[in-house]
Amino acid sequence: MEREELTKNRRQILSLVYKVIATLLIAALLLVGLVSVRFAITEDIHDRVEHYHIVTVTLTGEIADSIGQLRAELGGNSGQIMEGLLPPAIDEIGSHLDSVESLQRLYDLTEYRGCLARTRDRFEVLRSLMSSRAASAEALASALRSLLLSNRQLQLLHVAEMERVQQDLFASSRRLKLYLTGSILIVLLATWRLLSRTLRLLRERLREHAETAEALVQRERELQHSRKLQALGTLVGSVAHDFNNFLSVVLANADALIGSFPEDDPRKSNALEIQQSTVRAAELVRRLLAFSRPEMVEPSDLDLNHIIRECETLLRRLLNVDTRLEIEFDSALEAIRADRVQIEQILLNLVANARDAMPDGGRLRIRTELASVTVGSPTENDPIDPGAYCLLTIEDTGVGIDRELIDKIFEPFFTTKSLDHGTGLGLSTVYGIVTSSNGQVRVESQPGEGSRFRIYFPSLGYRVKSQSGEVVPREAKPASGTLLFVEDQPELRSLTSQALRQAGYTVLDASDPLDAKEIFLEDPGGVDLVVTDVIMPGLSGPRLVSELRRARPDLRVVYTSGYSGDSDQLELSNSSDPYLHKPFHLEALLRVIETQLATKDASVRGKESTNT
Amino acid sequence: MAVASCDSARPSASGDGLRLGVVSDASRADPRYEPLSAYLTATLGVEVEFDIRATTEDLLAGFDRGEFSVAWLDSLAFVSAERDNGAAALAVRGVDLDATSEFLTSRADGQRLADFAGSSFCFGPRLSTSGHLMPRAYLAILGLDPETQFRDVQYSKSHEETTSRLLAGSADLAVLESDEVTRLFELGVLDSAKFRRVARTPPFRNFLFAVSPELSRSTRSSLLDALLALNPENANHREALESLGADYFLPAYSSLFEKVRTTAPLVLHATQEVR
Repeated sequence: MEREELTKNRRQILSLVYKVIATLLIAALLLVGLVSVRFAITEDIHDRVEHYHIVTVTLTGEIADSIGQLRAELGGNSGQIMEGLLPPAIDEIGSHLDSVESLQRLYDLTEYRGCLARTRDRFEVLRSLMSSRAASAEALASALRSLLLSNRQLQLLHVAEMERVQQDLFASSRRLKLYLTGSILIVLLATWRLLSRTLRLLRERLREHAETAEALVQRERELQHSRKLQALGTLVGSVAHDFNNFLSVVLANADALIGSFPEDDPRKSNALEIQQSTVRAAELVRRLLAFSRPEMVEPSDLDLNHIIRECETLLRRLLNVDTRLEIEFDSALEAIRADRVQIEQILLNLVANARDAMPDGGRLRIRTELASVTVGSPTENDPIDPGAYCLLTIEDTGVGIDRELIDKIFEPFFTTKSLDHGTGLGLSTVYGIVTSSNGQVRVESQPGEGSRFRIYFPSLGYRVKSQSGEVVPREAKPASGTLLFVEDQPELRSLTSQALRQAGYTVLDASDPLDAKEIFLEDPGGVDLVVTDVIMPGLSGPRLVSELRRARPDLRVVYTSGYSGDSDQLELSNSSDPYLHKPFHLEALLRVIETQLATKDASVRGKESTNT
Repeated sequence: MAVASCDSARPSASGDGLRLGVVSDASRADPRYEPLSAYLTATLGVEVEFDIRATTEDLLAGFDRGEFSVAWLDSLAFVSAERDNGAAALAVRGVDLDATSEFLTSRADGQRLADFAGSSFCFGPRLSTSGHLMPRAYLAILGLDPETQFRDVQYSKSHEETTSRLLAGSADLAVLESDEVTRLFELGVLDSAKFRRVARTPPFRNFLFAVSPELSRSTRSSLLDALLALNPENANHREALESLGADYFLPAYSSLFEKVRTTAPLVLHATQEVR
């Protein structure tokens, strides 16, 4: 997931970088464009006016020179004029006027029209007078003066217009400058805002990228660590399988010895010590497996009182010095089926919770009792399903829980504590363990009046031995029936077969699944129950059972398991048949066999009664 | 043609006509401007009237209020109106481009203005270019401060009043526009046996037609063209030209009056309100 995040982040970062570059480019282009437009417009007007100015000044100046020349010529050579010989100056004036008129049309300068028209008119009058030969000198002089005046007016008109245009140009240039300055500022402002937003996003993506990369490195470290632990767990599992087999042999021999010595024989106590040490060794192996493979759940028949006793020291250490711990055991408590480590976890979590609810000290009571629930009490909002239960109650005198929070306390990550003091997983873990053990949990609390947690574990119907925690049946029945015992470990097979025969069973034993299959198929109806190891060379116990059940679908089975591996657990998890972990007490095996056979008998009687 | 006046605070001039403001003392009859008024009316196609004011101050105030959109101003009044109201130069007479003023005296002695220390001296109106600004600027060029040079410094309200004071002897020395001096000598108002010219100022720009910035461009162009069309060679135009003592009109532009613009604050700041 982190890799996908990284890839996504990289794409987003690249996209943002492109956006920044594009924004800068567009802004630069806009600014260059605006500045260019400004200069282009200004230069265009300036060029036009300057062109007109240069040309017109030249032309009107030459017209004035020509008029002056004409006046001089007329003053001295009126006779020539009278002969109809027009001086070249006339043509020059006419030509210049044509040019000025062309310019006026080109630039459409309407202010000049009237003056230009008068100049043309007066010129034509002059030319006409000069061509007519009949004009007097005075008339010619007057016409010249009129023409000169018009030309002079044209020159000054142009200067006035030029000045006006330049002032307008300056004003429009100022306006344009303001407009462009404003536009430039807007472009800059918009660019800055867009850039700052984009850069902020870019910083965030870069930060996320760094965090994701760090998380990925951390995850890979954890994965490596997990793989190491997994490898360790596999190794431990493999060792545990063989070790448990050896312990099974030792335990079986110890059980046999205990049974063979009389009560007053001092060798019986030796045998008892061997038995107890073997059990503790098996427990150690089980804890080691639980540590290396914490996801492994190993339900077994347990004595709650015994577990609480074993944890009592740890629980007291967990509590504040100002908190009093009271424990009440029900000696008639029966067994429950759960994972020991998980039960210890429940106790630890609930006691830690109670401690946190009593920062100034108080009282914590732990109580076990056998409870029989009939129809749910109508006063309860969430009644317990009817049945027989072993009830574990943990109550404190702490601050209590608000009514509106009670429904949330089992939610993962819900906590009222600060981050340093709680992850919010303690009670959700309790809830998960209880429900996976087919139990139910209820809580009662009032703010300021403490809390009470009641955990109902279904009772197995067997009473417990309070000191060792061994489970013993309430009633011992005489054993009868034919068992097929499949175990590849020869010593364990021999001891167990012998114990089963001694108990009264007819035992057919096999050292491998193929052998077992052959024995069974000789007389499928003659075997009442199969006891088989799970992992055996050639064929696993569950696969063997599957094949045997083709011939006998109602075949009863008990598995024995040596904690060997995931495949082992997977095989067992798909089966509803009971199993015992090695090493096991022979008594435990006898009890399970008895239970299985009793179930078969009940169903047979049911069928028989139906048939009759 | 309606007077262009966009300022709603200003009262508009008469309905559909064009009003031209001008200063004239009571001795000059209104009909003086009728030929020009008639010519412009006929040429522009709208009623053109002259609005006579007694003083330059009144004229400027009326111009400022939008009572007329064209005014006949001297250059000092023009730069003031240009600065305050955005007035623009339209046209000048030919003689206005190179106007001068002359110092006149009834005393027999004194060849130079510096010789008249302790005399009584009379300027024209305070806001007159030819009667005050340029003569004072000329005295400053000569290094003469009127207030310390002369026994008393007088200001008349008009050129006629200046003439009267000179004739009455209440001022030993006075200054008048050169054209006016020539006219007075030609008419015999000033006896050349009793009065003489002492000095003449350098040339300056004198009078002009100025237009309000609210006058439309087309009206302005038409008015200017009408004035430029007045031809002294045309007998029909002579009366109109003489309304304002013009030989002909020429286009005017702002830079023509730069000298007045720069001189006025320097010369007038210590003596009077500079408009």
